[in-house]
Amino acid sequence: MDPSIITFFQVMMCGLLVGGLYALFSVGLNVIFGVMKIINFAHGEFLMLGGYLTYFLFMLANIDPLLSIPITMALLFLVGFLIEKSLIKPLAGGPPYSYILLTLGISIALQNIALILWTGNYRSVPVWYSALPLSIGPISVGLSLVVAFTVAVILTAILYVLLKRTTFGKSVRALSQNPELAQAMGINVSKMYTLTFCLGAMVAGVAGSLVAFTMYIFPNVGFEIAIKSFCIVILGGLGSFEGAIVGALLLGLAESFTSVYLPGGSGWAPVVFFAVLLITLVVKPQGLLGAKA
Amino acid sequence: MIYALRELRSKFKSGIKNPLFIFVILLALLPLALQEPYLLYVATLVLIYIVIAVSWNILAESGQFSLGHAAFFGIGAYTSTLLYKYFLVNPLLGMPFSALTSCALALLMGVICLPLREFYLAIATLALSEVLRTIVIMLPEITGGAVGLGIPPLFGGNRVLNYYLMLAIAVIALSTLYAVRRSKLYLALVTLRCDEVVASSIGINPVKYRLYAFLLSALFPGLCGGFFSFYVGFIDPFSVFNIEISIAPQIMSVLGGIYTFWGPIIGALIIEPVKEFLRISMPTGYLVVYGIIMILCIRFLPRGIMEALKAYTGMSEAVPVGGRKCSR
Repeated sequence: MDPSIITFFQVMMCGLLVGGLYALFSVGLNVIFGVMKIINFAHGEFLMLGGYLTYFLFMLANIDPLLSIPITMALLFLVGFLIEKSLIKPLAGGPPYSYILLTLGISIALQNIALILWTGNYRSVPVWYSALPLSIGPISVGLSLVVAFTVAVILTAILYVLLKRTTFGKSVRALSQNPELAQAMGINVSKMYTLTFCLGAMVAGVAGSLVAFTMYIFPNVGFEIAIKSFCIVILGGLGSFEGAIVGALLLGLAESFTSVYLPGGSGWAPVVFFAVLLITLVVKPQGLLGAKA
Repeated sequence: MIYALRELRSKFKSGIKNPLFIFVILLALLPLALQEPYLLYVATLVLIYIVIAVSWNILAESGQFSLGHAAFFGIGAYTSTLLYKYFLVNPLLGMPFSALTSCALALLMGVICLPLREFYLAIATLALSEVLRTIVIMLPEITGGAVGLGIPPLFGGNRVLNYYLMLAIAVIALSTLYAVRRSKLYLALVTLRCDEVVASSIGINPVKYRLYAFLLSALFPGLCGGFFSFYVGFIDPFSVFNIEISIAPQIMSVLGGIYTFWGPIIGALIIEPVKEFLRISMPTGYLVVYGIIMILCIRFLPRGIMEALKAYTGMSEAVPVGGRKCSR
């Protein structure tokens, strides 16, 4: 086969795999937005906490990142629960800016606490499969990335079923569509808010576990991914499950293609993606798959 | 003639009693009290942040919540620097151009963000400022890239002269925005925030006034950026397109009192010195205090110190639209 075609598919493959990780993270963020109508600026810090948790569980107790996922989920659920109950719930009915500032404040506080506790060093979990390549025909990709992608896809699928096929999911969708009517139908809004937030935190924590052995974790890792993720959900349409996945895969592809095909490399990736985002916003403010406001 | 003179005198008399006038006089006397160069440096930073925070607040008052004011600051800083580097334009002449490019950027941002509200707007402005930083990093032949550019500091680095120059900028900015708050334009902006439908039904063109707010809000941060690069004599994309510069005016405004004139000023006067002090006493992670202040402030003092003062002194808040208190 022509080498340039092989490169093309290789690049596409890498983009899609990374996009899968972004998708998992963005879907959680989007569910929180759909139900609570807030953008959680601290969402990235859940990823960061999940990453560090995985790292320390591996280093201190030698637990494989894949096996520690349930522990991460449980602890991040708890973190989400505490933050929602103590800080976000009391704000109900406040002006929109208060949520932006509150979650931004939580984000800055957690980032800097992590910086003080664990320094700014880049850390990665050295699992046995982290350096192994996986060849599919002429294309080869990192095994760890494939493992992470598989986990992300499974979890995203579980989330999809949870949201589309269960009573819980029905309540979530009812709340996103019409909070007053949902409440009138006997849905406990306050409880649902808490549950959704915890669910989002949990999923972000798992995304952190995956990032810990495929890329690096450092105190700002969550914020960097979160900024991308905000753009992903806005590109796909705030509140739209499918939109978040489409947006995430698009970002993965944009990053991987610009890093190979543009002179200057991956540095241009954010510009390309933000340009796509801005054009989308101008043409279709509600996002690619977003419902009309 | 005599009547005009009398009017001028009475205007001057009432002007003296104006808190803004007293505040500026106090600021002008500050270098006498602060002999330490470092303290004067902090005071200059405080002035910069006062201007950015008050400017940010005027945009917020029109209902547009920006998370990208670092973009205006940064583009201003790079404008004066690059004008000096390539055309040897005197920094003092370059600064007005900083304000101009910043306004041009604001116009672009404002047009792109026209259909966007709240979270969308916040994220879009944040994205734009990140994009600008990336562009500066990726064009090292022109901008010096991530390494940055060194430039001779203004007035040979004389802190006192620089302080007075920044004070002059601050006076222009504050008096302009103070005057704006007493104009019809301001009422239009507030009405736009509270209820866009009402605003357009009484003849306030939302597009036009949104862009006015963007322009007003970008003008002075751009000027400050133009000053800042020549004040420190060095510029790099990470320091001027720093997300901290975008977040700081929000914390300052909320702590002092969002949607008030004095709120952002009080906030800047408190937060910037505290931050500088912490930066020296605990170099890593000092920003944790930013986060904690934000959380506590939103939780316990959502309308800031000004509101608490008003409640304490019994002054009531101005009610902007149709006697209905605006909840936004």
